[in-house]
Amino acid sequence: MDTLVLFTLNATWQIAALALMALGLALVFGLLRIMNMAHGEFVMLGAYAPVLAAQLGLPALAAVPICLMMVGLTAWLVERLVVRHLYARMFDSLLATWALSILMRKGAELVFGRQFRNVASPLDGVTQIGAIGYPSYRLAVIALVLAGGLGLWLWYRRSATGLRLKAMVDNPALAQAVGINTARLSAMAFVSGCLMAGLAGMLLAPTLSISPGMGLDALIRSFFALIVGGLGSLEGLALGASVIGGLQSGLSAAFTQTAGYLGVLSLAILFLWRYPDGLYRRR
Amino acid sequence: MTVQLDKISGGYGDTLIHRELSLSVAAGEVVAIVGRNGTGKTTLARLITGELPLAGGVIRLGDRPIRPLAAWGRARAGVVSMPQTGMVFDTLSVHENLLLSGATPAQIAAITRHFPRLAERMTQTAGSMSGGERKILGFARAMLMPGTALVLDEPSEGVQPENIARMQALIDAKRQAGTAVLLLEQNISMILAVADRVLAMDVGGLTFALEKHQINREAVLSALEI
Amino acid sequence: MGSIVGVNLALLAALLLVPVLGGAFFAWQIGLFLIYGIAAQGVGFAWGRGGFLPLGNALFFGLGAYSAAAVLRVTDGALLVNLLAMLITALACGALAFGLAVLLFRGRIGSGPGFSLVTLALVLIAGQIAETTPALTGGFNGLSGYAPLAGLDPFGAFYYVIVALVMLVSCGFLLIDRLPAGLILRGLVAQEGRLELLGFALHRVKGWAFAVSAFVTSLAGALYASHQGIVTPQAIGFALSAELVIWAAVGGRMSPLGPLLGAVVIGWASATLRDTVAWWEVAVAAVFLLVILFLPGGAMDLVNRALHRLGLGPRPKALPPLAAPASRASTATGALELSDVGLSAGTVTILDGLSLRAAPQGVLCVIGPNGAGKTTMLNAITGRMPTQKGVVSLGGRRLTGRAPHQMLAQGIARKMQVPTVFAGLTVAQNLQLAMLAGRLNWRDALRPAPLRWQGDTLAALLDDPDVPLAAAWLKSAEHLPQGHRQLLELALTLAPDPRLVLLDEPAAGMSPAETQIMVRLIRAYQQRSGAAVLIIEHDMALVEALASEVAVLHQGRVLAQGTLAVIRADPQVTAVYAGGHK
Repeated sequence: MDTLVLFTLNATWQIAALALMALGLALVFGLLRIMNMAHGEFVMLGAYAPVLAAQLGLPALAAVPICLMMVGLTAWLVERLVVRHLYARMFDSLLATWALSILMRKGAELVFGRQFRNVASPLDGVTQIGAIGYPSYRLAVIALVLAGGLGLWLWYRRSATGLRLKAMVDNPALAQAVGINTARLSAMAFVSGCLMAGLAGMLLAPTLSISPGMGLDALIRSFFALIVGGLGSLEGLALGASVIGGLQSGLSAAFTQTAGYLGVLSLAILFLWRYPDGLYRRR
Repeated sequence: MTVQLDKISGGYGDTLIHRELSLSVAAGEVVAIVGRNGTGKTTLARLITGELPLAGGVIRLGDRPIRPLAAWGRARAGVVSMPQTGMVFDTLSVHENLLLSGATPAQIAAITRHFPRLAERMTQTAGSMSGGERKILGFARAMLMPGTALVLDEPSEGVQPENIARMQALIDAKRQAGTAVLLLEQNISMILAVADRVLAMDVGGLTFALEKHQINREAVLSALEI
Repeated sequence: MGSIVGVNLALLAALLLVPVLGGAFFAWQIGLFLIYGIAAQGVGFAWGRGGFLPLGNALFFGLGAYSAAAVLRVTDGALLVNLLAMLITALACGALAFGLAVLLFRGRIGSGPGFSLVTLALVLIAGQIAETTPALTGGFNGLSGYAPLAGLDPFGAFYYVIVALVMLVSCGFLLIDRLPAGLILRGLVAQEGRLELLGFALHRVKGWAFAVSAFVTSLAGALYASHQGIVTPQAIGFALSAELVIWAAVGGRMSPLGPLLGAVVIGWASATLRDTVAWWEVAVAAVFLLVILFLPGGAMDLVNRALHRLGLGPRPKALPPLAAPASRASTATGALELSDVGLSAGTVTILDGLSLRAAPQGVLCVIGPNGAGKTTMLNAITGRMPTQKGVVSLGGRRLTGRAPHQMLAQGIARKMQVPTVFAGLTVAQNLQLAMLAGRLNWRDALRPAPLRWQGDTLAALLDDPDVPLAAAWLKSAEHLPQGHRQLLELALTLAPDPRLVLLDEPAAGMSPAETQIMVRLIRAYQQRSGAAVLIIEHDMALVEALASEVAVLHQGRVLAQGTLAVIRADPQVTAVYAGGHK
């Protein structure tokens, strides 16, 4: 019984963490049809925010403005200089953002150093669930992901900006014809997607070992969750994160970590090959 | 406001569909362009709205050259359009489609009194409606947008006669309000009902013009002969 | 052939000078990056000549390296056995790549991100297996403790083995570029849709390109095993795959020698500067980004442009044309028949029980409003879109269910609505490709003579005073003015001597005078060959001049078919064109 509860908690944590990590990638792809290969590096950048806050002796909450500034500024520059010219050129944008990811990784090595870092969790301690003690911070992140995901879903459905975004995705030419500045809206969407990635990195930082190279793993895991779920929708993201996160925790628990990883990769190949639209298809 | 096209050229890539085409629509005038399919009517509409870039020439709205503006900028400057295809946001509801015009709830309620069909389907997605109903929705959206020029690309295609009559009344109201209306149509009765001037288009450019007193069924039909 | 010899001699001289000028250790260092360079050439070939980017080519490098190390361990470096093992591994890698590419490209994956991501996932799997199965690969510690190939000293004589492979691979790639095979690959990258219409099976062409890429990369991996004396998971990981792509991009993926240059210069400089100049790797990444954004041809593009400006560039010699063998397309005959063809995309019905017959000879013009299904009808005939019901046949042979690349063999050629000349290729190369279409067999792909083929149809077109293509012979096709491009497009379509010519708006964007030329050329071909021509056109002047019969399409069906006079008199047709004038 206890092992089952623990497994469920672990799987939920895996799924929540994956969904959080992949959210920005899903946003950028869903709204702009851009495969942002530098997504992982924005996660990495966000993860360094609490490291910097700790180094500067600031309270843990100071990581939030640091993250927003650092990631927001980088994303804005990237959009201006690179991504803006590559909308609707999927393969070129993939290559360019990949080059960018290497640039950001190497830049981070230069600025932060190559060593692995850890940050203390701002929410220490353990919450008792039956006989199981589970880290409170993880439970808090799970709750935040659920609340945030629901909030975002509602916002996209109800708000005026959400409506304009939906209009742009549906029919860019007509969106312009009703006076929507699609260039600015796209820029905003890209920066927001990167900020989501940064915030995910910041929130997950206490549970990861932080290094300039951590982006690749973040990208690949996010990416495969989206492939399986269906690229570019919040529902697909939730579905994909559940399948990938669940599969990985299941296989890891039953066999080894390696089996979990190989299982995810094989599933991703199968989907890329046979079902490129993923599980959740929009009408 | 007057819309003036001065020797505009353009098309798809370097495939020019129009070369040095000129025409002007005065404020409070409805100009209809007739021509068979494939003669470049839709391309002309796209060149005016900015969906396609001009290869040459000048477009003025009043005294203002609008060529430097992107499509969204032209829409905000007052060039309202209804494209021939893709005239609605398929995945959005009827209400959301109308909201995107920027109109107030009262204005939306007013327009749906003209088209009761829309009022019945407010929460339905636009893509699930028939072709004619989508035309009506796109037309209603264009009517709601504030603007001084109106480009309508085949609004009547697949629309029932009684709704075409309502469209004609609304176009007439826009004319009364001083809007310059460019109507790209094949429906003769609509042209006869609203046009102040008719221009015939064939592959390669405008072929002849009919002033108000010359407009009759036979004259317009001759522009559609194959 | 002059410049190939020159380039190779210069390359050989440079490589042989390395140990003389730099000493044994320097030669050993450069040797490693030459090996990487060969692998990067493999990546460059797939990317620049195949048009798809493999993100996981370290898979083949690693397979070559691990297999070579394993064989070296048990055979103590015996030369022949090891060479044989290297070759077998490389062939196996080639076969694996061929199968993979054919499987993926035949499905729904285009040359876009999908393929790249599958190769990425594969190399991640391979890396993971290499790390976690010590029994097979030695795990993190890798395979080591074996003598190098033939006992050659990695710091001495082995360098010349590497040089030999570099020369072989470079010569091979330079040679392929001069052969029909290379031209087909360029055509693939420039405009795969048109290549398919010329009768080439895209998935197989890509399969061959990827097979060559994997073969070469695997051989490089095998040399790596002897050169390093140890093979670790590094040799099969994503990091190496990524480096190969960067070197290929920066050096120049379009040129056979570019990736080699990129690997040696960047790789060696990185190895030397990485520890002393902190910002070096940032600079390399920035250069990579700039190349992607502004210089798709890489450094070799700059070199080539400079050579060109100095007048040292390759000069295509105009050799006299050879008579082309008969086209396989010209043997088919018969009437085109569509009976009750239905085609829908999603919920929209585009063809709604369409039935149409085009006589075995003559010109049938198809007109109709936009959205009537005219272009879709051509897609249904040529197998570009699957039909849900009905049968399309030509001369009684069923076309339904065949792939687009099989159409030319059935005698069918098509001109698309949007311009689809091979951009970036010269007019001459465009026409060479068209002459290969329907005539080439696989042996011809590897000998130069077919590039000089010329058939009567093409010769007649080129001799026409109104067809200014010969004057633009070495111009890049996309720089032709629109009217001339349409003429080139017509030449590409007619050169294989098709029996059924499908022309989708051949006069779009043409001036009236140019349209008259087009009319004359189409009529001339039809009369000379006795072919059937099916034209979709809005320009009634063209229809009037050419049509022996006219069919009107409306809402996915044939509304009327007959002579133009009959069509004009048909009240239904007038009604459609006048928008149901009430």
